[in-house]
Amino acid sequence: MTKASWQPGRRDLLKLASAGVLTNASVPWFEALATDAQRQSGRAPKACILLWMDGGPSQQHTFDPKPRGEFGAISTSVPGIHICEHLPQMSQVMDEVALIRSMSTGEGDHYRAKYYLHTGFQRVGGFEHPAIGCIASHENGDPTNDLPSFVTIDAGYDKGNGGRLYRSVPSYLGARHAPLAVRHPDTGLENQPADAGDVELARRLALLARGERRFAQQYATSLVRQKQTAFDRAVSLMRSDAVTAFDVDSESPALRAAYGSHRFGKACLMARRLIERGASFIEIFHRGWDDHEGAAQRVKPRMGWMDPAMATLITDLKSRGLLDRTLIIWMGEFGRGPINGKDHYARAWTTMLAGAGLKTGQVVGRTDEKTRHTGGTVVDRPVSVPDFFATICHALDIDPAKEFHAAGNRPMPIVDPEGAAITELF
Amino acid sequence: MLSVFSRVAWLWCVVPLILADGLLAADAVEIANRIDVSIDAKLQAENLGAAAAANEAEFLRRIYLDLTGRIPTASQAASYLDSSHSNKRARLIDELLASPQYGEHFGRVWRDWIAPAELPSEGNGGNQPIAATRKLGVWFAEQFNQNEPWDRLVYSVLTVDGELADHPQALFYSLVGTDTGIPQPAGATRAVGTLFLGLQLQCAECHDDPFRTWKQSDFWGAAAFFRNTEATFDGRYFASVTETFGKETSAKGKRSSKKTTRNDRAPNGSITIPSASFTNSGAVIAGKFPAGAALTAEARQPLRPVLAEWIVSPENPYFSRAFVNRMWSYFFVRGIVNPIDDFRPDNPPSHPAVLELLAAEFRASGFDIKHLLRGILHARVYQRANGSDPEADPKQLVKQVESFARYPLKLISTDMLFESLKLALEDPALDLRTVDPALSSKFGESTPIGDAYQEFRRLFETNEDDATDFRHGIPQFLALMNHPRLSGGGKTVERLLKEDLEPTAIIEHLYLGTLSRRPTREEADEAARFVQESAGPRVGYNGLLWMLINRSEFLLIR
Repeated sequence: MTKASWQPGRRDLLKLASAGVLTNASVPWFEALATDAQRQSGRAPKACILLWMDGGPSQQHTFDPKPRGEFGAISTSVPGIHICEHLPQMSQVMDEVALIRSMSTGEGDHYRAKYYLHTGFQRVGGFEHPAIGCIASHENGDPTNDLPSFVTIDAGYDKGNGGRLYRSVPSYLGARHAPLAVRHPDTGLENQPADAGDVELARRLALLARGERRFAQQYATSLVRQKQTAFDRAVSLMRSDAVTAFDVDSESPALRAAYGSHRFGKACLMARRLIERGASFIEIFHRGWDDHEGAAQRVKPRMGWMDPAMATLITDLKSRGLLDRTLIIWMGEFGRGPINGKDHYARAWTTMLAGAGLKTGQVVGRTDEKTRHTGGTVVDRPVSVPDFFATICHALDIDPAKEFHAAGNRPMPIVDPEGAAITELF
Repeated sequence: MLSVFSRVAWLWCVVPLILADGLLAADAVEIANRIDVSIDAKLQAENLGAAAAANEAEFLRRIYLDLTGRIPTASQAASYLDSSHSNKRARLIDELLASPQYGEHFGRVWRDWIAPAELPSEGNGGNQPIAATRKLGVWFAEQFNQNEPWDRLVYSVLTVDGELADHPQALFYSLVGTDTGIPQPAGATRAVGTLFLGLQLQCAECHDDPFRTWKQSDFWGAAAFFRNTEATFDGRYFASVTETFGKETSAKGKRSSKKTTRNDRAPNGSITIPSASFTNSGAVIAGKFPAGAALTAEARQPLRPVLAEWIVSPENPYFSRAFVNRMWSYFFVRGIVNPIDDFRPDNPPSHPAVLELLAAEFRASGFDIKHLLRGILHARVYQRANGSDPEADPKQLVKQVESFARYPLKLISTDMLFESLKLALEDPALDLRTVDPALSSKFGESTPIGDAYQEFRRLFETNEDDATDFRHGIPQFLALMNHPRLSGGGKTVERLLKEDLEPTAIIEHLYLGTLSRRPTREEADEAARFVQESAGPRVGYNGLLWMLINRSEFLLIR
């Protein structure tokens, strides 16, 4: 996999920045670092929006309906593909979607599965694997961009089950790849100055810069450079109009209505705005899909906000020419038991992919329809977690075999070498 | 043989420590000298020069933060810097070790070592029991302030029986349980290995450890000691630990407590490897001391006290070394053995003589923590500078830090930042909560935050724990720069303005109260000019204080 041509220049800039050269050369605060020239070069790297249904959504009540299932099935814009009857808008964009109906991941404990499906590795004691969002930030993020490359957005909950939320940790990739957390789409980015162009703020920053320059000479360590670089990025962001990406109210009322007034819809709209501005990875999570009482009653009302938001996200990205470079993933940590969706189910479940130039309008893998536990078994093309992660990396132009050095110089590949990308999608 | 030594050793522990002073091999200065001789000999052999001694201001701020988790106030800083006492460093060490802030600080440190902080985004931080965890920290604080010997303290944690309300240490077994929040023998085994013995047993939980000598049977052999430990926890307020050995019924689970659900049919003194394990699930493993002998006759009695006696015995080769190494690493960001919980023959200590000296001294003093710390803190190795001239070779500087020839530059912890900002801004509450009630919900990231401390951790906590790595990113700096309560100068400036002081005195006070030193001539002139050019003195001094708390120097321990 070859890297985009603009990358060497970007890497060089990063090196200069981390060596403190730019900081010292352009104090106060190196806004000049944000080079529009690169953003305009047109070959932007791939981005990703992960729609995380925390708790484990039922596949049979969403994207893998069964003949005797609790919900009916409807035909879609792709002949032969049927999805749940409560996803009418999604049915109209099925040609932009690929369904993987043969996820076979084996981990049925909430937190261990959340970790597994966020990192591509089983959780082990005393070792922390970086999350896919942090990896995408590291590999595809633009360090010259004012925006943080990885943002998480809380899209709310409708009950408290499903256990503790997994939080993305960059581990050995470094703190700058940790996500910026948006607590509520309506709150947006916290702690922005009332007026970033304020003269008093500028005076304070200039005074600070003088002291910082002297300190960096006396303490020429990476710790001080890291602090000054992180600080510079915060100053750049708050002075840049990139912060408006967090404000969804500026969108047209019609588009906002199409995304829907639920937090999830607003979060999807914010994700599109952030991607547009060059962010690499947005994770939106909605909690409460641990439907032990049975999925039917619980899932139906969720479709009311999920269906329009997801379908609008796809069409909106497409109309702006962003869909080809943006991968959308819809998933949870596992699926749910056949028919009623009561239990955790990791043997046979469904994820949805869209965009990123994938061969969409197809279904990968199949679950059975004949047995007593209809849909409980993968009968064609099981997809493991390493396979799934190899596929995501392939779609995002990230080399899954690339190795990092974890603590103790332990070499760690991005994806478990056992994984093989789903070739049908490319 | 083992049981003999553990029995004798335990007697030694419970007998009042009348012999303690007599057993002391050395006073702090002598220990310090022996550390320095050993460290310096190696530096000389490696032809590596050491950094100069830290100046008084550097030492002052460093020891306040390292020992009490906060900077000195402006007046504490001034009084130390102006003191002409010949022995003022030693006096300050004693003064701080005797202050309640010493125990409070190390209580928080151990709380976080036992239960690493998560980002407390929800009212109760997801499943993280913040309020209960704090109780454990407070319990540790009391122990440290009473200078409870480390062996007795650990014995008390390991053998606890009762409820959280009466025995805060009961939370230990709940916090170190599995991810599901249900305490299990495996979690206790991992934690005891890592925290108290310096042994990484965890890889052997699922398979024989290819990098160490641990077999899977070693891990589960140790876990067998906890198999009759029934820990319950409701995730919030109620936790209890009960030894169920020989009892039919389980702990009295109040409320909707989660409790261990083990139906292990293995005989007493052994345990069945659970199904979640990679290999050998279902196998019955006989109890075995970590890196020690098999459990024999003791199998007919409650097992936790048996293990606890073995762990805290002076004859246990791991217990004293693990603590000494952990504390060394706390100060120098690098243990004598690294990683600090990975003692094994293939991973030798960098300075074996220093490790042995301190471990022996720690045991001889009756596991006297303050005695150990005094020895380390009096040493030149602790009191070295870390600044350098701009021409210095960066690689050489790193090598010096790794060889203890230079004190490491460290990022202050979230707790230290919280305590220090309170002092610098004279804002004892430092309540930064701003959630709009209209946008709050009962669950999720917009839950109203429980209190000021939780909000601070939400804003400034990160998941990393290496103090030489800078952890803060854009969100933290946006908060530090722009949060109305942090950018407004706090009560400090208001008070100073009322006191009718000369501008130079106010500027000096602001420097002392943040960076724990007086401004240089250049800084003083710069500050005076800044204030003069401001729209008024209040605006000027507020800006100056803002500048000081945003300095790298404020966020670091030099």
